[in-house]
Amino acid sequence: MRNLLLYISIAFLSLPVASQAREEGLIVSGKYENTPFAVFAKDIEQQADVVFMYHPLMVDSIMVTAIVNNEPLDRALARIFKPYHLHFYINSNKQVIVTEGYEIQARLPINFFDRSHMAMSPVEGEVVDFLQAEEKKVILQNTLENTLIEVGSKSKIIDGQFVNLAGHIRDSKTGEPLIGAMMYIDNPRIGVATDQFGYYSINLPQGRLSLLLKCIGYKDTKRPLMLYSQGKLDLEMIEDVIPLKEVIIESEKDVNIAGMQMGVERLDAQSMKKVPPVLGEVDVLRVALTLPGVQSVGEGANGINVRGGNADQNLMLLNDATVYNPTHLFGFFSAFNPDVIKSVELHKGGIPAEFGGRISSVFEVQTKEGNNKNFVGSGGISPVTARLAFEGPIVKNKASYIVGGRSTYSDWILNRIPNDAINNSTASFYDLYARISYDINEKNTLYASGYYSHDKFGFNSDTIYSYTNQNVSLQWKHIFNNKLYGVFTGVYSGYTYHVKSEKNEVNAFDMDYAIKNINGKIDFSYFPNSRHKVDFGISSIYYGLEPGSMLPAGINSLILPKILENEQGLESAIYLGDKYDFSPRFSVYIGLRYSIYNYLGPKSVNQYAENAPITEATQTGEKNYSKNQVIETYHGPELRLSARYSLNDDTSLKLSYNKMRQYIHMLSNTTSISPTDTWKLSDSYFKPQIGDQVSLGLYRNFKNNTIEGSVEAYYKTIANLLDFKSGAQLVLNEQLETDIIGGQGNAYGVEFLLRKKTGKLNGWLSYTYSKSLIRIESDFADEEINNGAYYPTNYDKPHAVNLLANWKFSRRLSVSTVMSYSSGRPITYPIAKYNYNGTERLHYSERNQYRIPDYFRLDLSLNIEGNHKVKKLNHSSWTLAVYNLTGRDNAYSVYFVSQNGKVKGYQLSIFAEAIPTITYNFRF
Amino acid sequence: MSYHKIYSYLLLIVALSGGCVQEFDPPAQGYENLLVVEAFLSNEDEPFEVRLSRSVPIDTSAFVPESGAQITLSERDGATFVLSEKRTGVYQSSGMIAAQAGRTYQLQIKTASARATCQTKW
Repeated sequence: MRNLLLYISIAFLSLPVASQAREEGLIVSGKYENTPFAVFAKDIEQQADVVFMYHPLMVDSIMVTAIVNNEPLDRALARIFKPYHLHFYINSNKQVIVTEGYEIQARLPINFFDRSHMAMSPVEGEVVDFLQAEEKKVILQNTLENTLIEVGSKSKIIDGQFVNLAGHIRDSKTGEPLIGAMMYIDNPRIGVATDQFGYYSINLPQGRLSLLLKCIGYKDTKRPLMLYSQGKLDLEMIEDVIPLKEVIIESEKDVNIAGMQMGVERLDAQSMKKVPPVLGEVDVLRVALTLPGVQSVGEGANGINVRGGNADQNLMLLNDATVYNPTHLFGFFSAFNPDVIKSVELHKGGIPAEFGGRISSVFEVQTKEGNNKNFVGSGGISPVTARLAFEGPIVKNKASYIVGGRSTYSDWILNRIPNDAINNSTASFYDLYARISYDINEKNTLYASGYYSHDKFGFNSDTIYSYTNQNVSLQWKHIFNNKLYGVFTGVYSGYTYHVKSEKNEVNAFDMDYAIKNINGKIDFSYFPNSRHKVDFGISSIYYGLEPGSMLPAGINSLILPKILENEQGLESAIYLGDKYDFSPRFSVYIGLRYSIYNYLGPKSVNQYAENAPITEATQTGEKNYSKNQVIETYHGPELRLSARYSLNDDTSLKLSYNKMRQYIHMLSNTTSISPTDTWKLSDSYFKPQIGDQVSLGLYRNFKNNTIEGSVEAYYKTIANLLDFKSGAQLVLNEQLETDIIGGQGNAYGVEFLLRKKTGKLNGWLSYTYSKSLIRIESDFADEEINNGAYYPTNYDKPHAVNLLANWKFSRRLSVSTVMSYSSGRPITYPIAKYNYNGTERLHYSERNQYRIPDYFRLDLSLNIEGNHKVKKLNHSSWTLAVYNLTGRDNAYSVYFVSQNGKVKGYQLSIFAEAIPTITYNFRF
Repeated sequence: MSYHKIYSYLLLIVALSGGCVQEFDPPAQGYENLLVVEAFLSNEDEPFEVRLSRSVPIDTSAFVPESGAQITLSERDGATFVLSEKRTGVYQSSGMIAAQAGRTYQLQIKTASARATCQTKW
């Protein structure tokens, strides 16, 4: 009974004292034609002696056209506001409060006090029922925030006890689980973030609580909770379409300060769409490149370099499946369709123990589960590409699907360019993605997804290159109880490429490469009490490689067939990680992963003379291994540590250390881009790369958490970092070990980031100073590079400045800009020519002694949302973008060609002029 | 993959993207004027010959022999042979020299400008 009284009083306190607004005397008249809302409001204010309260952004595009003839105010407003989805509420102080999308409820819902049937059940559904049918889509935030939720049974109450609460946090409109949503209470300060399934489990004190919810892109909100005993609670949050200033929970401590993780960046689909697109496509990799510590070798280059790491040191995951080539069309586009992506998480430091296998970073792409309430679609058309995605329920609120596809019609464009060489060229790609999610019951969920991408291009009918990514993943999530759940995952990933040349019959050939892996893993999350969060699991990856074959094409071809022996390996790991909160201010994560790798036969392994450099000349023979015989085993522990200490509410200090081991390496000559980058397993000669990273970060929020500032410094060492001997041949090389040598890598840097997440102006500014070095030492002078001294890696770019800003002029018009500057990457030049034994030879500088010119680029885009007409089939928007606005011809590469006995240098620029594009996006 | 293939592939990108290829002069490094020494000491009885030339910038094609240098070949704890210039940039010993296994030789060169003397390691 005491409890009942408590919430009655709260309910009354938190609602405005409603009075009958339909007072006599509020009669208005007027004739309005394309009158701006503000002018209209002023006129009414004078006539009726009321004050309008509204957000200017909400109404800035509204022009009122109406004739009002001695009408009561409420009736006139209702009529005029209806087409704009505006609602109003007139309170006793004669204030007209204008809201968009939802109504302010002046009365309590029917049966508000009769809540006996609510125990043990989530209340969202019940509250929705109180609303009118057309309002169901938009849940009444205000009402929810004032409606007490009861969980558990009253009979089990024991004072002062902590009990467990678990469930999912979802999007109110689509039912999509929210990743990284924060739920917490303030006193005592206990919080939890949802995992990749939108699931949380938290131990809270029994009694009356105020749950605070925060998630990027969603309105901050709170839920009053009466927690009696252990229970389940599913919650929904409303998407934040226009960040309004009224959002009050801003003053709460932010994720940046309170969260455990460091070196992690989460990007949601919405913020990615604000970035100016290149060639009309929104691109996750390109957005990632504006973050501190993330760089690319060059425009149109494959992959990213994270904190001075090579492009192969990033674990690219699409729903837990490895994507070996994450780009389309020479790297212009990322291979991920923006319409199916929910969020992207990039771990560059403090990597949790559940991840392994790559030493620099984890780039995790999560796709949507699909709208489980309504059928919706989205798509876009640009001059180069078109894309379409559908999602909807299979069984409402239980099972959903999402299907997306993209394709380019650049072939069609190329055929229309009046140049024979280009005319006969081809460049095309497409990708398809599908996922099904099925909540079998409260405890079991099944996910199945598939991904296929294909690229094909050729120049002047000469050589045709094509490559394909294939992924299939199956997941079963089982909730054992509130405190323990497990995810059973099976994944197949494949990558193949094919090169075909038929123009010259004598040299016609077919070249193939393939890598596939099958990955099985089991991951558990355990929440024993409010202070611990434990993750543990096992995983095993089988790799099968077909490292290359070259076969003659056609009967007239004189090409000699060459097929490299297949390779196989098995990488297994077991891990345990525990996050422990010593106090609300101090928490620690300790993770341990132990990985073991076996290189397996059948294979004949080249043997070389001892105490001599490994060259073709020192080969002594071969040693044969039978099928599945272990040729080489590498294993070792990987320690992961993180600690956070909050100095005060606005400032925290974080420290992390991680060791990572990598058993698969990409062989790529990054000074020239090539779709024929191959992956190589660790074997007797290629030792695993081992990375150690220490990082320290200081995080501070300013101005009520609207501005986040951070400084992170890191120091990294890498053992067995690979580089090439001069003149290395990578493709179809049977003795790769003679051309590649392992060295010692060393990278360090400081990253500064200022980010403003809300308001008319939002975005971020980052500056990074970093160095990435490698040293190749050997007992044999021939094998050393630069005499065994440290030299910059191909991707060492010491200075980088990135600015990303969005300015919202009105609710229909916004402008975004990206500014990017970085030092030019290192390069080895031929510096002199000489004659030796009658032939001309080039003398090269020290490896990577020089740099190509600095890189600078400015992009601008204009986003125009469709009109706000009442009856429209779809929501549409136009994006006008200019890539490289200043038209600067940034050097992608510098290369040298010998012509008439002279060697001339050439600089290649990919985008040498401003590239305008226009994209039409739609949702239905 | 041949260089030509990669080159053509780059051209395709350029064609697609409105990119461009421009001449590029790498910054001068002062390495254009290196002394190039061509020498082969065999174990057969033959005159020992050394050819000296200068390296040139990469965008030229001239070949510049190095004339007027003083060259000696010394055998460790043994004889020293002086070479004389037969043609411009080509130096020869007056007699036959056959290198012997197990012994160490040193080549010493002093150019006409005498900016420096260089010698091989023992």
